[in-house]
Amino acid sequence: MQLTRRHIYQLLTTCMAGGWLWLVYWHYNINTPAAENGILRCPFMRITSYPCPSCGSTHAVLHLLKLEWKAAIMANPFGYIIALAMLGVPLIMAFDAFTRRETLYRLYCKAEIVMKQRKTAVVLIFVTIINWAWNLYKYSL
Amino acid sequence: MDVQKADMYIATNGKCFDGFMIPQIHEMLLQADDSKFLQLQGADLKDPTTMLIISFFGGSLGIDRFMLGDTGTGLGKLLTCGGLGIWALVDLFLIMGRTREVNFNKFKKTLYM
Repeated sequence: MQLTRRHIYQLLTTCMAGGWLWLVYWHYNINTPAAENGILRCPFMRITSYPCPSCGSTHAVLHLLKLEWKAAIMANPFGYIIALAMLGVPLIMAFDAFTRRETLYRLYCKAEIVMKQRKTAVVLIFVTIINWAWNLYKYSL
Repeated sequence: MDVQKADMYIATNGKCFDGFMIPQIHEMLLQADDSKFLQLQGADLKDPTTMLIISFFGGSLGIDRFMLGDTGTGLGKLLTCGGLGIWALVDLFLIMGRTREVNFNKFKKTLYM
């Protein structure tokens, strides 16, 4: 399946809808044992018993929604990227819908080109590994 | 390119492309220069079965998508742990088709470079 402009908008819409539903669910169920041990947990952790690089990002985004900046970083710094995307993408999508432009699609394509460049890719991989190592350290405590 | 070289290329790399594209690829090879044969051998085609295995083990980290050059979707999978496993599961069904598509694009790029 070639990722055309339509596919990218559909994919991002699905991600945003799923992401916000996920956040709403966790906002009302964050301290319930059923939610903590239920089926909706990190699949990587369920299989390997170790956290993935983005474990804790849901808590981080929930902290950010309450403007708890430090708690969000301690949960997972990737939460900042996710929160930025979850606020920015729907806004840009609405802008595109009203003005009939392709701003989001162009941003997506540009981001892909930038991320594929060797220097950027190396930095991003390094940051991901560091964050994963920190996650593993926090989990071991 | 002569028929023998074209047939040899398809026999070696046919599994990397969609079945219905093989006649078109064969035709494109016949119309190409002989010099392209060596260049095509150097083209980095990904084995769809290997990609399926990578998707199975590393799909929740987006490794399969990163290897195909889909950095946007790869990053999305990494940040969401394979879309809570759902996206990783869907990609198990999509990754082989996407690999063949990427291979065909690489083939065209090498042929018409």
